[in-house]
Formats: sequence, structure tokens, C-alpha cells
Amino acid sequence: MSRFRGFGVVAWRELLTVVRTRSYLLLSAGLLLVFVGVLRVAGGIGGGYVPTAVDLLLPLELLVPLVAVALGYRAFSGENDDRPVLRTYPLSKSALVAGVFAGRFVGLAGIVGGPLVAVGLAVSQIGGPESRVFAVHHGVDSPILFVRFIALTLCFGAVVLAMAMAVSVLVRNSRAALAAALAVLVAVVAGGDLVALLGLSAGSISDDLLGTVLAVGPNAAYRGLVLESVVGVVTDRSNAINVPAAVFGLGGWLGVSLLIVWFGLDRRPALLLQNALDRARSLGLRRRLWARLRRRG
Amino acid sequence: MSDRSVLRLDGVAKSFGTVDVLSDISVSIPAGELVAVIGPNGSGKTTLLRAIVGDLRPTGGSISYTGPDTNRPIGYLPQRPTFRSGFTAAETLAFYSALVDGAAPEILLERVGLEAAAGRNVENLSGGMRQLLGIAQAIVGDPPLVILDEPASGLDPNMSEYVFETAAEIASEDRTVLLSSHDLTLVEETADRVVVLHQGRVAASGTLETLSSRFGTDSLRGVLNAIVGDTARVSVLGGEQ
Repeated sequence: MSRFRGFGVVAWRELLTVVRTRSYLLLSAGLLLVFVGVLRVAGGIGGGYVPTAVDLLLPLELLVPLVAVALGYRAFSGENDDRPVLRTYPLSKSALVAGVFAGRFVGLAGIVGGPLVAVGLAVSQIGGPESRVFAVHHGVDSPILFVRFIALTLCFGAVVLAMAMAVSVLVRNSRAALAAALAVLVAVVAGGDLVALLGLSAGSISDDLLGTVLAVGPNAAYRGLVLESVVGVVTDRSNAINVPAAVFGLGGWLGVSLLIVWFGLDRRPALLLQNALDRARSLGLRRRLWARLRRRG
Repeated sequence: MSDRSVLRLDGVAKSFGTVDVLSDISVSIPAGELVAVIGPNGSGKTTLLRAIVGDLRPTGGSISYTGPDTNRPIGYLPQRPTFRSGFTAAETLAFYSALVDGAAPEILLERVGLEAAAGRNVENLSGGMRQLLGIAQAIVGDPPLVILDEPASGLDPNMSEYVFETAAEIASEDRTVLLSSHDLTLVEETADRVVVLHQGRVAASGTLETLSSRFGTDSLRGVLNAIVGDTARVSVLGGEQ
């Protein structure tokens, strides 16, 4: 059996798991409702694709991590954890990690991408004449820009999904997975911006470095890339972020997270940490006992 | 008894931090037999089986599979098998079978007598049915060695008996079954060989006749009592750690 086939079998099971979990499908419906509400209040939909993307950017910075964490935090815990059994099958760790990630990512693409495509179709009907130009020119709105926006959003989702999966593989039970996933959510949504803000106020980050520092956080990198490659094309006001740093930042988070999943599949990190703590505790006890004996003379 | 062995353990040890759960386990599992691992709670049965399937890495010694070369050498039913909700019993087996080009799910379910539940979602299966589904999963790909960790745990007497009969049938198909259990009566009825673990060590091993004559008793309970001794207290490896 080829490695690729094992990957396909695992990916298909993950996708079916997402499709058959009703709460995930409700998430998609909920996203569409939020989008409709935001666009109704902000009114960007009448202005075309780029104003719509601007209106949706802030909610998506919160909602995409939420969906990604919901899909990823139990990828390897609870009833989804059959690693002890899978170890007896000729399935490589790489195929397992890639399969679980790919299957869940396709699910995420459907949950997040579906409502965004629906919004894009609505813009094509409601937006102005400029919105029907299938080309990317400075100052001209285009569906291509909205496709770019959706693609960046899904890339952002893929990064947070990988981070949530990394958490899922490191913790021992579902309750710990939920707590750790919430920590990931907070870190992704607010962590990068908070670090940049603290650095700026403390004077350790100069204005020149701000774009690069912001690019390190997944949330700010996503926002910066959207402002740069979607909004900036039309407004001609770019330089919101260091683009190579943002791409490298997102790619880095994705790569490191998947590597953690790969290494953590054997639960080695958690086990090593537990063993080290046990040994340290035992050593501490011995030292205290030794000190007491010496005091007694 | 066959001369061939399917599994060999030499000085296997496993520690969690400073607690030694397994120490110097050396055992050879003959091919084509049903071998039962028995012992009190906390004696290291599950740890030993998990080490054999590669779910835990031993801290010492070696474990060698010496059976025929195949796509899936060892099949495994964990103590608490997990199945994904939303999938039927047949779909669950189809997934595992696709990984090894194994038999059709219907054939596997028939072998454990669960064919009537093929279309039922796993979350709607009874405890006994889940164990049987787990056994069907363990024989996917026809592994020469099948490891069942407490296959009758939590089941009623009839279902426990059926599970042990199924395990004996698997062993009669020129396969080796290594199982752990607390049900000494069923072990006596079905096992060809018994390994007794106590405090992470092999306290005794051999056929029922060998053990009976060695300990001067006619039952496994007698053998176990002779080894464990004081049963009024629970033995905890590692003390308070």
C-alpha cells in the first residue's frame, strides 16, 4: 500500500467526521448570518467587493480562529483518538498528520468559504458596475480581489487549524484540550497585537520595525496581507505590513504547528515533561532528606 | 504446543518517572496458541500489552515480533476502544480495512457474529457489541498475532463467554491470541498458556497443568492467591508517587 493511499483514507474519514457533525454545519450557517448582519449595518456590500472585504475583515479575525479551533482542538483527543490502534496499521505518521490536516482543512474551507462565496455572489448582484471587472487594476474593484480575500482567509484558517491540532496532540484529555484550545484562540486573536503594543509603548520596538513585528502574529499577518494585496490594490495605500515577513510568519506558524503534531503523535513531549517533573520532584525530595540528615549530624 | 514463537520479550522494563511499572519481563509467546496474561490490578498487564503494540516505548529490554512477514503483524483491541460517532459499524471497519486492503466489513462482522449491526451507528451499540466491533477491528488484515486487552471487561457473563469463544476461534485459525483478563474461570476454559504478572514482574508462566502442579492447587485463583498473598490490601507500585 502506498503512503498516498493511507493519506487519502484518513483525509476522507476526517472530512466525513466534519460533514456528519451537525454543530459544524450550524457554524457555517451562523457565519453567514453574522456576515449578513455586519454587511447590513456597515453597508459595504453596495460599494463592491473591496468595501465588503473591509467590512468583513474584523469579524473574520475573530470568527476564523473560532471555527479553526472548533475543528482542530479534538482532532487527536476523545473519541477521535485511535492512535494506539492505528499504530498497528501500515500508516506512516506523515500520512496520518497530512490526512487529518487535509480532511479538516477541506471541512474548514467549506464552513468558512461557503458563506464567503455566497457573499461574493450577492456583491455581484448588488455591487456597482465597477465590481464586474474581471481584472486587477489600481483603483478598480474586482471579483478577483474578493477571491484573493477568500484565499487569504482560508490560509489564515489553515494556520490556526494546525495550531489547534498541535494543542490537541499534546494534551491528554478532552477537557485539557478545550482549555488549551481557548488559550490558542486568545493568543491568536489578541496575542500578536498585544505584544506589538507593549513593545511599542515600552520603546523596545521602533516605528520602522512595527510592520515586521506585527507580521509575526498570525492574526496581524492575515490582516496586513489583506490590507496589502486586496484593499491596497484599490486604494493605492499600501505598506501596512512587511509582506515577506507576513508570508514567512504564517508559513512558519503552519510548519512549526504541523511539526509539533508530527512529533507529538507519540505523546513524547508530554511524557518527557512528566518524566522530567517526576525526576525533579524525586531529586528535590532526596536533597531535602539529605539536608535534614546532615543537619542532624 | 508449537515450537515456533511469534513474539519474544527479553528483559523488558517500563518506568513512568521514578515508578517502575514493568521489570525484567522475559517471555516467549508460541504461535497458534491462546495466551492469557493475568494478575491483580496495577500489576502491569495493560502496560505490557501497550508496550508490545508500540503504544508505549519500553525503557529497557527488547520486544521482537518473530512471526511471518505481513502487512499488519499485530492486531490490537485496547482496554477502552474508541470509535467515531456518526459512523456505522461497517463504515468503521471499512476505514481500517482500506489501510491494509483487508476483507470487506461484512465478512469481518460475520466472523464476530455482529453482521446484524452492520448499519448501526457505533454510538448506538451496546458495550458487548462495541467489544465485538473492537475484536473485528483487531483481526482486520489477518494479523498473525492478535492482542486483546481485557476483551470481556464490563460485559455480562453470557457476552463475556461469547467474547472468549470468539477469541478461541481466532486462535484456532492458526493465529496467536494474547489477551489479558480478570475472569479466571473463562481463562481456565480457553487459554492454552498463562502468564501471571505481579508487581511488574513475571511471577509464573506456563500451561494450566504446569502452574497447578507447581503451586499445588487445581485452579487459577489458587495460583494467583499463592503468588499475590495478602489480598486484603491493594499493592501500589511506587508508593505515594
